[in-house]
Amino acid sequence: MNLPQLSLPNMGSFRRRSKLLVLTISVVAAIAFGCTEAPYEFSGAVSDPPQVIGDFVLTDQYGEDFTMSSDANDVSIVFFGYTLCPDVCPTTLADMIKAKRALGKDAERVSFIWVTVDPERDTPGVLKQRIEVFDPEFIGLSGSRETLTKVWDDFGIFVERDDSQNTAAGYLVSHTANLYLVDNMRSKVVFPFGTHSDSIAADIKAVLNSQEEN
Amino acid sequence: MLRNRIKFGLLALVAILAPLLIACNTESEPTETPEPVSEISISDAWARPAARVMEDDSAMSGMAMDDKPMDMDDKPMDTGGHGPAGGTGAIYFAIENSGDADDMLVEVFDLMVESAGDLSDVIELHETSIADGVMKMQKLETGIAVPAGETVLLKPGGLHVMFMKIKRSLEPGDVVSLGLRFESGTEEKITAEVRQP
Repeated sequence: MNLPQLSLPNMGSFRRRSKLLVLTISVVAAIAFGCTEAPYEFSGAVSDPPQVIGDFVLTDQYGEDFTMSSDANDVSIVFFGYTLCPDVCPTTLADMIKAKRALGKDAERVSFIWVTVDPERDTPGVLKQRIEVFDPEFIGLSGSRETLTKVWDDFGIFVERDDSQNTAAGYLVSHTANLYLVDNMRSKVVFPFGTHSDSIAADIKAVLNSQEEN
Repeated sequence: MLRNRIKFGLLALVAILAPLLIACNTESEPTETPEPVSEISISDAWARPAARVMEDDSAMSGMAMDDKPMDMDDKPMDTGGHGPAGGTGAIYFAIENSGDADDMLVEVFDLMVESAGDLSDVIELHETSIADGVMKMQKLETGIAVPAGETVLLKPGGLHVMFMKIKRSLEPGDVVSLGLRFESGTEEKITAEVRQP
């Protein structure tokens, strides 16, 4: 194009050429992006490449086997926490409920899964009572520490039993408090604690839409 | 001569000043040099919904350890709410100290559900911190400091009142009453509405 001439110190010409340049860019941009939407910007952190999750079998709150790879839904939202946790875990669960509500009908295509980080205390029966307060459709998973450790490792979840606190709770558990969006056994988007539920819902929707296109 | 004059002068000065000083002391001490005090006010108190969780013996001894399906009733046995969890909850509020002395929330007591009764006797002050995505909770042994002139906010992911072994579940709309005791001796009775944030 005429780009080299733009550096000429003729201001009138420069202005005219600037206008021309802006116009040209606008036209090119309109052609390039006009027909397709701008690429979706995820609010969560996109894992690139997605983290592959090994298949696992845990026990749900009804005492039934839950096999991750057989989960019929298109997308899973996975959270790690424990029943005794009064602050962060209920906050995250509440965010999951709000995201589910914001998804409307699309929520039917999403599994909301809580994996315990405290298997000795979070038995299926305890998880069931806890989940019923939030949303009975959520899936609460427990199992042996051995099986769970593999799951935690695949997701990159830090779990540490903390016996140092003089609390009536006995012991506390420090753990990673992120939410994970799993699509086809791959963790694709990570939502840090405090991500707004609308942003979570929008990201889920974007992944569901991309599934439809493929 | 000179010495006497100075002595006399000093005496006179003392004689004049002494009544003034005494007058000052008796009249203005309470207002001019008051003890610093904390002035505590509480606002925006709310509690989370909470589930009373019963101990689940069948699951404890059953499959949870070996990943195999187990035979368990849909409804775990009620062992009186003294299970490992019993159910926990959290309360949040803002503490404003508009006084000029530092203070500290040292105890929460008389935790009740209005028009229902006792909620919990096991109440602790905790702080959650999140670093690199990892949530860690810490029991605050001494209390929650409320420096003079500052407002301290208890909120999700931070400072909170944690209570355990709850005696009844909390549903949105329930009202919880509680007492707050401060290091200064101040006691505040407050209510907190249960709501899903």
